[in-house]
Amino acid sequence: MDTRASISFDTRVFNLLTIKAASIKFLDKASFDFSLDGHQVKVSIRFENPLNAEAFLADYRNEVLDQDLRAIISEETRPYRDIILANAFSRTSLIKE
Amino acid sequence: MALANKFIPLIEFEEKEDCTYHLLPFRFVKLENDKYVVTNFVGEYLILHRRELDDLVHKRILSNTPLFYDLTSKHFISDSNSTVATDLLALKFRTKQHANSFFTSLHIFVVTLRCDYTCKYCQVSRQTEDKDSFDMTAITAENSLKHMFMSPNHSLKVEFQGGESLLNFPLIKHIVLKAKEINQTAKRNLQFVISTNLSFIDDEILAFCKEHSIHISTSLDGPEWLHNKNRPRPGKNGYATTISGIKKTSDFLGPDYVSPLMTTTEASLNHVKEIIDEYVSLGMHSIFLRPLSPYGFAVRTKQLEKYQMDRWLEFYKDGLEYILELNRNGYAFVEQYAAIILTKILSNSNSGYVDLQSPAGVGISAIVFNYDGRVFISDEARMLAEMGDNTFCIGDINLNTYEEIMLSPTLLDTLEQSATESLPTCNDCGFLPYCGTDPVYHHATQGNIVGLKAESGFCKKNMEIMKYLFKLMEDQETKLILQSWIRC
Repeated sequence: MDTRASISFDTRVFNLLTIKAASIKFLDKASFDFSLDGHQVKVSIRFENPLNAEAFLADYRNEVLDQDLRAIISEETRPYRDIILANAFSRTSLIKE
Repeated sequence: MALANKFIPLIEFEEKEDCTYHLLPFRFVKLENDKYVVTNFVGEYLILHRRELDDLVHKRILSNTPLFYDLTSKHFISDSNSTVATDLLALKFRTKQHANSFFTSLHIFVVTLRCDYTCKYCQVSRQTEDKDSFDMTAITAENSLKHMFMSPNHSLKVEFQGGESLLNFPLIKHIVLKAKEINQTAKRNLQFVISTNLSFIDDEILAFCKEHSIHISTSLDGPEWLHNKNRPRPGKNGYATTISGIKKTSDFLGPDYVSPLMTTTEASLNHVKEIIDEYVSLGMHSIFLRPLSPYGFAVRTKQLEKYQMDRWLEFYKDGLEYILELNRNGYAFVEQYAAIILTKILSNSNSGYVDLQSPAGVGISAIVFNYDGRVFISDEARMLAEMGDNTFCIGDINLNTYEEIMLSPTLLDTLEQSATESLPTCNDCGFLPYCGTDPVYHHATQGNIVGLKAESGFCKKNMEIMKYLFKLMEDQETKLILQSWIRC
């Protein structure tokens, strides 16, 4: 069982927001520090209770990948969200001409 | 020639092997292993493997595949310049959200804090029977009614709560008659519910309930030993009184007019089948398996410390499995929280459940008029106030106008911070279309109304139940049973 771990990501592959968003999902189990060294962001992890670091890091890496997908979806679908909401509210008096 | 120009060329309908598509808004959440629940803008869903999800986002789904057709028909992608997909999503979104414009429907009148029970988990600070200073006055009741009829909602529901509400039955009568008098001009759809332990139910009360179509809500925690352990009534057998009251009320008003509710305690956790069997033995066809809330005596007696959400979830899943088994054996029985969630997953209907709305239903779906005139955004907020935390009091019905109460900064700030579409963690969760947030719960347990979802019992509960329901629906026979629970 471990109390600490660290992992690095290349910021040319995953942006910092994606890594932070993934970290939020694990705040019940750990706290996180971030530091930048060139293109590498190092994530230092301290676990609240001792646990298997390798298993945790595997889940963490997968969550980073999931957050990366979410970022792609969010960016590509932004205009469609606006169109759908504008269309949905177009018959109310809430939108000024 | 003019007619031919009205039709899109035939070639547009032919399959395109290398068709490119664009993504429409969707979210996803991990179900188990490499399976994900993917939900579109209005909550229609597909279950995809991780690789399929990756292929979807990176435009690798081929146009002549069943998955492509599913994704197109459910508006996860669009392969043309047509606006049909976005138009339909807008229409569905408007349908889902339209109930928000109806405004406050449920109005809770706390007619007294007096009670003859000493329930260990009591979520309000109760007083003993002889303290008349904890009764709502007629003036407070009438001012509350005036406020209620200011709501634009065509359907208004009055729920009488306590303490033990029948200890102030004269005021209940006054409120019902006054409401009906006002309604002769207001012309709303009025409904009344009395929450009571049935200790004081008698023929006079039942006759009044029958005359005015009043429903009865009561508490039944399970078999006799459990009910009396949770809800001791000094000097008497509370279970016997409750059962006798349920039967008397059911015989007089009809079985559809009596609804028992259970509350889970530490003592309940290993006995879910016995609890369900108790409801079956009374001829009931549904149960609401409720967790313990962090308010009132539940905290003071440290009930909450005695079990965590994980244990309650085991209790819930065991209960749901048992209920499904009852259904397979021919006895129709519904778990009501599952039914609420399934309605949101499998239909475009808004179930109207206050705790699963975005923004939260506090104030704008339900409101509480306390016995002393204070107005609260929810019943949980009232319970918190009885613990000394008055954060969610939005005014005094005897001193403040409708506008001052409904435009209270407390209410508006809470609503603004309860729209899940803009809350961290919630905003990209695949279960967002089915979920909500509970600002009072998060304030009580974490000290802020948004709450860190990784540590939220509310989030954990809903995530686990929703995942569990999706897994159950992978079996077609079970899915048919669950579909029959939808309320539309």
